[in-house]
Amino acid sequence: MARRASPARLVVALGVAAMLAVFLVYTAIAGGTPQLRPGELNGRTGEVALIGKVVGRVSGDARGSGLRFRLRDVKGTAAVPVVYRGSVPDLFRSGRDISLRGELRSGTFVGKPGTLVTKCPSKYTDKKQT
Amino acid sequence: MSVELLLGALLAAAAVAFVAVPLLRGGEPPPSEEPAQETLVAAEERDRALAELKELEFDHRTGKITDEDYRALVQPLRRRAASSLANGATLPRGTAEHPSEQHFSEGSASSSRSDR
Amino acid sequence: MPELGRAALIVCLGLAVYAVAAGSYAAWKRRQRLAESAENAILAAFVAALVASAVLMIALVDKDFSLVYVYEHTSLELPRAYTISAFWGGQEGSLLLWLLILTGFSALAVILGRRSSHSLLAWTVPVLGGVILFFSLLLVAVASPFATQTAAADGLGLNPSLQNPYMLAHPPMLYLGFVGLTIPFAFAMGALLARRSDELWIVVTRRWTLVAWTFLGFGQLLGAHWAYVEVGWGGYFAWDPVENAALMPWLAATAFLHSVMIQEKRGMLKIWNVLLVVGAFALALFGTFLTRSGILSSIHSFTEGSIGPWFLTFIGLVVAGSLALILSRLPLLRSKTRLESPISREATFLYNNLLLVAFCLTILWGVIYPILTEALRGEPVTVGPPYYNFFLNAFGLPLLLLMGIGPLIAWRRASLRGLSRTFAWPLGIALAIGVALVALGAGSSVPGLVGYTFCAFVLSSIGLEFARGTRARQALSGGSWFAAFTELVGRNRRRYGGYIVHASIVLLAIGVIGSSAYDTTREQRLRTGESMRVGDYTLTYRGSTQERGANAMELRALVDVERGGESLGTMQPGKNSYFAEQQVSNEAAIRSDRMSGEDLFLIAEQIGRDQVFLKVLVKPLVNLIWIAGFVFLGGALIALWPDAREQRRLALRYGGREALSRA
Repeated sequence: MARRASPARLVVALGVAAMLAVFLVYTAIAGGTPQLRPGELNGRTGEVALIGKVVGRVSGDARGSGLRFRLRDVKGTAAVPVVYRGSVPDLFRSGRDISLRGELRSGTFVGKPGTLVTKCPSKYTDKKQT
Repeated sequence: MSVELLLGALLAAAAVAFVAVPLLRGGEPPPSEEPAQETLVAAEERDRALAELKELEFDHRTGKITDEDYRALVQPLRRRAASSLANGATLPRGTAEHPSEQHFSEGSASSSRSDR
Repeated sequence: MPELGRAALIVCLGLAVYAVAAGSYAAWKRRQRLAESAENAILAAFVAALVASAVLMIALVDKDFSLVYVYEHTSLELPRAYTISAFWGGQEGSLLLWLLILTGFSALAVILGRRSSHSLLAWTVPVLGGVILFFSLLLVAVASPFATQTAAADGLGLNPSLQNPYMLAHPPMLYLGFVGLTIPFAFAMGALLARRSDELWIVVTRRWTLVAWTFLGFGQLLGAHWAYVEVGWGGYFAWDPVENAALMPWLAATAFLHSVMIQEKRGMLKIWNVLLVVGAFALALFGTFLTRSGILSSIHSFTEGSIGPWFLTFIGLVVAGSLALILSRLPLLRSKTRLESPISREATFLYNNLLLVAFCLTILWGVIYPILTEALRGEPVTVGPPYYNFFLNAFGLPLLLLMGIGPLIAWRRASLRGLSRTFAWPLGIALAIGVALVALGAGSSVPGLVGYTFCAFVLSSIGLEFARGTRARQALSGGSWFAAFTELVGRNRRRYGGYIVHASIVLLAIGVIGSSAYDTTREQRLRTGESMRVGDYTLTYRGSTQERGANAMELRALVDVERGGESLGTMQPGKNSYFAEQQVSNEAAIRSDRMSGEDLFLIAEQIGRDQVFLKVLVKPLVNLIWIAGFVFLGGALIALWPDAREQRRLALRYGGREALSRA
C-alpha cells in the first residue's frame, strides 16, 4: 500500500518541533542570567550579570585579596561596592563601562572569577564621548 | 568648493547621459530569442534525468551501488530519461555536457526500447 | 572635497530610485530599452559610489581633519595602513564600504547577467536597486561620512586594539560575504517576480553564493585568529552577539549551498530554497544591525545609534515583501518530486539542512533572548557560552557525522546491503581510531571522543571517495594514477572541491575539539626563579624588562620554557601602554609546536621585578584550525573554478543564440 503523503514533510515537521522544544525548554529551565544595573540589585539573591560604570578609586589586587571598586548605573546614580578576583581585562579602569557576573552578599557584589568584561570603546559611536 | 560642485554636477550629468543612451537609440530592439519557460523546464528535466543516469553509472562503477540495486534502479531512470529526451527534443544540441554523453543519451534511449 | 562626496552619494541615490522605478516598469511592460537603461543606472551607481569612496579615502590619507569622520578615526601619527583601515573603522565609513561593494557586485551581476537572460535580469535590477536605495539613503540622510567641521589640529586616533593587520583584512572580507548574499537574493526575487519556473536563477547565482560564503567563512576565521593572537585571552570565539551576527548568515548560506544541489539534481525543495536565500540575506542585514545599533551589550560595540530603527524597518520590509511574493507565486514553486526514502542522499542533505537551520535558529534565539525577556519581564536575561556550546555539540556532532554519511549513500534509495558495503571501511577505521584514542586518554571528554571518532569517519569516507573515483577513472581512460586523479577532480570540480571543503571543516572540528575539550589551564603567581608545571611544560620566571617602543611602553615578563629536560627558549608575555591613547593592551606569548600542533599560551599580569601572575593555557591541536582555513580556501577555489564549456552551454540554453555570441 503506497502512502500518499511523503515521509519528508513528517520528518521535517517532527524534527523542527523537537528542536524548538529542546531549546525553548533549555532556556526556560537551565539558561539565562538576568542582566541588571546596580540600581536594580536591591537585595537580589542568586547569580546575576551586573552592568555599570566603574567609579571612584580602584584598590586591591585581583589576584590577591580582591579588586575593590564601586559600580554605578551607566545612566544614573545608584552604586554598589564590588569585590572581584580573577582576570582583569586591560581596558579596565575607573570610568569604563563593564559587566561581570556574581552575587550580592551582604551589600557587596562578589564577582565570579573570569567574568569581568570591559566594553571596547566603540567603533560606531554617534557622538564621540571623551 | 565650487570646483567640487562642478565635478558633482558633471558626475550627475554623465550618469543621466549614460542612463539615457539606450533610450535614445533609434530603431526596433531585436526580438528576444529566449526560449519559452516550458522549453527550458523540459530541457532541465532532460538534463536532470541524464545526469542521474550518469551518476548511477558512476556510483555503480565505484562500488557504491550493488549490481542488484543498479539493475533495479536503472530501468525506471532510463525510461524517464527517454521520455524527457522526447520532450526536450525542441532545444538545440550542445546542451549535453560532453560529446560522449550525447552518444550515451542516444544509446540509452534506444536500449530502453529493448526491455532487458 | 566633501561636497563632491556628498554629491556623488546623492547621484547614487537618484540612480537607485531610477533603477527601481524604471526597472520595475520596464520589466512589467517588457520595454527592452528601458530595462537596459535601468541596468545602466546600476552600473552608474557603482561609479558614483566609487567617486564617493575615493573622496573619503583621499581625505583620510591627506589627514583632512575638517571632515568629522577623519577627525574621529585617525590622527597625525597613525601609520598609513591603519589610516586606510579607518575607512571602515567607523559607522559612516563602513556603510560606504558596504555601498561600494554592493554597487560593485550589482554592476558585475548586471554585466554577467546580460549574457544569459534579459528577462530574468529585468526583474532582478529593481531588487538590486532597492537595496542600493536603502544604503545610499542612509548615507545621504542619516549617517554621512562627509560631515564637516572647522579643521582641528589633530585627530582622535584609532583605538590601539584596531591597529593591527587584521583590521585591514577582517572587516572587508566579512563585508564581501555579507553583501555577496544580496545577489542570490535579488536573482531569486527576480525569478519570482518574472514568474519563472526554471532554475536559471540558481545556475546564475551558484558561484556568487559560493564566493560570498567563502569570504564570510574565511573572514570569520580571520576574526577568530585576531581574537586569539591579539586580544589574547586564550580563546578564539566567545559567542558574543557580534560574532554570532556573522555566524548565523553563514550557517543559512551553508544550508542553502547544499539544498540547491537537491533542487538541481531532483527538482525538490524549491520553496525551501527561496526561503533560505531570503533568510540568509535577512540575517546578513540583521547581523550588521546588531553590530551597529547598540541594542545588545557586546564587547564589540556599545553605542546608542539612530541607525537601528532604519535597519529594522528595512529588514521588516525585505522579509514581509519576500514572503508575500513567495506566497503569491506558490504554484510556480510546487515540485512534483517526492522524497522516496528517509535513507538516501537527498534525505541526508535534508537532515543536514534541518540541523544547520536549527543551529542557526538556536543562536538567533540566544541573541534576541535578552531583548525578548526585557520586553516581556522588564529585565534582560542573557544566555552565555554554556547554552551555545550545548547546542554546538547537540547539532554539530550529528552534522559532522552526516558529512561522512552523505557521500557514501546513493540517490533516491539506498539498500542496506549497499550501505553495509560502502560503510564497512570508514566505520572500521573510525572505531579503530576511537579505541586508540581511548587508550591515549581521550576518554576524559565524551563529546570530544565522539567528535574525534566522527572526524575519523568523515575523513576516511572522503578519502574513500577520492580513491574509488580515481580508480574508476583509471579503469575508464587508463593512464597514471595521478592523471586519473586530476581528471577526476577537473571534471567534477564542485563535488571534489566540496569534499576538500568538508575535509577542512573536519580539520577545524579536530582543532576546536582538541583546544576546548582537552586543554589545560593553570594560574599561578611566580617569584623570580620560581617554576610551575603545566602539562609537559615547566615554566620559570626570570624577571621583567621594559622598553620604550614607537608609541607604547612595552613591559615584558621573561619566562623560560622547558619540556622533558630540553629548553624550548624564552617566552615574553606582557603589556603595552600606549602613550597617546592612554590605554593598555595585552600581549600574550604563544609558542606553537610544529609537530603536535599544540600551543603554549602565556598571559602575564601584574608584572613586577620580582614576581608575576601567570595564566598558562595548553591548547592541543589548535593550529589545525588555522590550517583548516587554507584547506577551506583551496577546496572552495576548486569548486568555484569556471568551466568554459559549461558557461557556453548555459548561455546558449537560457539566452538563445544571440546570448551565445555575447558570451
